[in-house]
Amino acid sequence: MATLVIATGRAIWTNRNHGAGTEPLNIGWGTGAQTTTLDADTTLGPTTVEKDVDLTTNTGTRTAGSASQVTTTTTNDTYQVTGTRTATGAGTVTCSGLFDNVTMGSGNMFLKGDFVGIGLSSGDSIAYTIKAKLA
Amino acid sequence: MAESREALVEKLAALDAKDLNAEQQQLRARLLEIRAEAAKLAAASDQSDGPLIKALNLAEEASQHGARLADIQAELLAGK
Repeated sequence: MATLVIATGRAIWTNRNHGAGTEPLNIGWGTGAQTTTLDADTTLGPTTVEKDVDLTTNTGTRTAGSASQVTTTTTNDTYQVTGTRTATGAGTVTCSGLFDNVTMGSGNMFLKGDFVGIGLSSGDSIAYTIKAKLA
Repeated sequence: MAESREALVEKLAALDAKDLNAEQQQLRARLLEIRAEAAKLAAASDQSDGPLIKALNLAEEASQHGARLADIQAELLAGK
């Protein structure tokens, strides 16, 4: 299991430093057999599949989070996104990520994490706190 | 040291009714009712079928990228 700012995430990061691009604060989740996040990943796949809030449909909308700078070690060294994504169907979430586009299937992935599956019923939520710290 | 609310409630419950005036007896009876309701709610919440809210923290320390990003930023600022 791992959480990584993946290769496309570094491109987003430098582009933002350059004054361009879109902030990657959109939270997506996926279901399916879990594989460890790799730096070269560009989607929530390959074995997992990004899902809408119904945990079934492969298209839809990510959850726009609330972004901020926070301090972990030195002042404002960490980019943080918080947000709550509520399921409208049942399923087991095994991975999540941050994207620079709110529409599933669009935009670029900034960060991806895989974890022990979280089983959700309709109405259940995951309250995310996602941090990327420069060190 | 101030007594806890629970300790005071227990003390009140142990008072003999003859030591309380009518108003105090009513208040004590209501307090005991509330205590019983609170106990029921506590028991019910332990078996709640309400929605699950799972807190998930994902954190990445990009230490392997930090030095290179600083270099890139310096280059950009220098107009290279």
